[in-house]
Amino acid sequence: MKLLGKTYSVLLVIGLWESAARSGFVPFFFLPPLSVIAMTFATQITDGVLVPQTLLTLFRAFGGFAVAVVVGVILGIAMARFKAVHWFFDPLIALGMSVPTLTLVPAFMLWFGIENASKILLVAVSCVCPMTVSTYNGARGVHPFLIWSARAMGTAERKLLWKVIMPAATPYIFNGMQVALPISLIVAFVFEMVAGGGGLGFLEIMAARFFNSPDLFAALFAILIVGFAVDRILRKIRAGVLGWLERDHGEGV
Amino acid sequence: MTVFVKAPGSALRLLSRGAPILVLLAGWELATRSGLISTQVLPTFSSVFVAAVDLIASGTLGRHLAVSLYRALGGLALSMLIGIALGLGMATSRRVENFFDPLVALIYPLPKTALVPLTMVWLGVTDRAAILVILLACLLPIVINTYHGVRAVERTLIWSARSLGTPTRGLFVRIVIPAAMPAILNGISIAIPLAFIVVISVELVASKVGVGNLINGYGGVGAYDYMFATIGTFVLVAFIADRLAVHVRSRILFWHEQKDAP
Repeated sequence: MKLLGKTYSVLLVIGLWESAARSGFVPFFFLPPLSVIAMTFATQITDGVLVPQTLLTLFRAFGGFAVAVVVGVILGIAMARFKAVHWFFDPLIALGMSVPTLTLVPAFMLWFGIENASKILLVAVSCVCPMTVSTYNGARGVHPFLIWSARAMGTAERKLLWKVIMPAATPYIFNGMQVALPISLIVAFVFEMVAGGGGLGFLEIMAARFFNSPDLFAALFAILIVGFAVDRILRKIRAGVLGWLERDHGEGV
Repeated sequence: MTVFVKAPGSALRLLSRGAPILVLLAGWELATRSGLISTQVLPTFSSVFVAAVDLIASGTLGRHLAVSLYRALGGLALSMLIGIALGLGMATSRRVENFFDPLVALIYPLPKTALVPLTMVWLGVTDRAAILVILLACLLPIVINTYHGVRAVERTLIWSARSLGTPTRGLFVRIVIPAAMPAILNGISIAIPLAFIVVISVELVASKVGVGNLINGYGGVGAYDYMFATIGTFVLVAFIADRLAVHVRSRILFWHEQKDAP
């Protein structure tokens, strides 16, 4: 009963959708019945269409995301530690943060072709700014007392990074990842819609071009599931890694 | 941030901040002129600059930019209207919250550009389709931030206003909304870049006009100097819009202390 009370609006929307579509009140291409979409979704999985395409998109999104995390963390820490690095990169990052990198899709198609490489690179470029800014904020915010204490107790300069600065910056790095991960998916989908080459975005736009609504909604639901799962998994990893910190303070998100 | 400078002494700081960008532009010009990078791949900066001047002077850019801005700002304005109302409703009424909370939680993780093909099927390749996707993309951050902002209004503020004789309706306008304003503006500042991202996506994927369409068109016919000129000017417009939003925000929130964004 309690579950019903919590989800009745979702059930209501599902019911309205199904009956509106079945009654013929809404054109089929506009809103096919949910049951038809579910059938399409199931067939596309058993036919081996949806899963490989999803994996292809995820490969592109995660590939670029991983590059951005590595580059962003290194750059963020370097900016926090070295004035010259900060001087050079701060205006560029400020510019990059406020600019939609998707404008570069045609340029990346020119430079790197329409295969995986250009998609992965544009995802990386799009995610690197939030990663850098978050890491920089975390690394800059390390309390000097912590560094002085570690030095006083004989921590070598090189170990300082791994023992003090990285642990202190980790919550910020995770914040950056939570911003960057949806961006990686958005860029991968849109690039696939514009340039083709397979993937969920490509499946969806092809379905739209042929007014094949069940296929379109099947791809859309696959994208929704991917977005949901990716968000959940990152939260779990965050809780696992940062349990020591946030168990006592409570998570802010 | 030092873009809106008033003190004359900070001209030097502005120069220091702009220097890395000038270095990159000079590097671009040198690398392409010397033949290190083929002009087939990257036109020289000077030719891109000439193309940008031509695009602006001929009015081509202005025409397409006006369409893109109309879509982005139209969608954003609608999402602000609906989002703030919905956030307020969810924060103040248990019934409204129970109804919308599961729906919001369900749709929240969807990368919103995935809705571009759907609105294309629904409304065709039109301004309305573009505005609808932008509205949907910008809606949730505004709803969620408004909701949390209103929920976080301190009870003592409301009690004090009541005891000083503020009528219930006045409470909303004079206490709750101003107290939630920092959170609401947070939501809007998340939504602004989203609006730009989505409008470009729509125009790259399916549109007859707009900046995204212009970029795609020049790329398709190999007019790369014009393509990069369009990208560059749009980057500048998006950057200025972002700075303006930060400026307006600090004007509205002059009474509210906040950490300066990095």
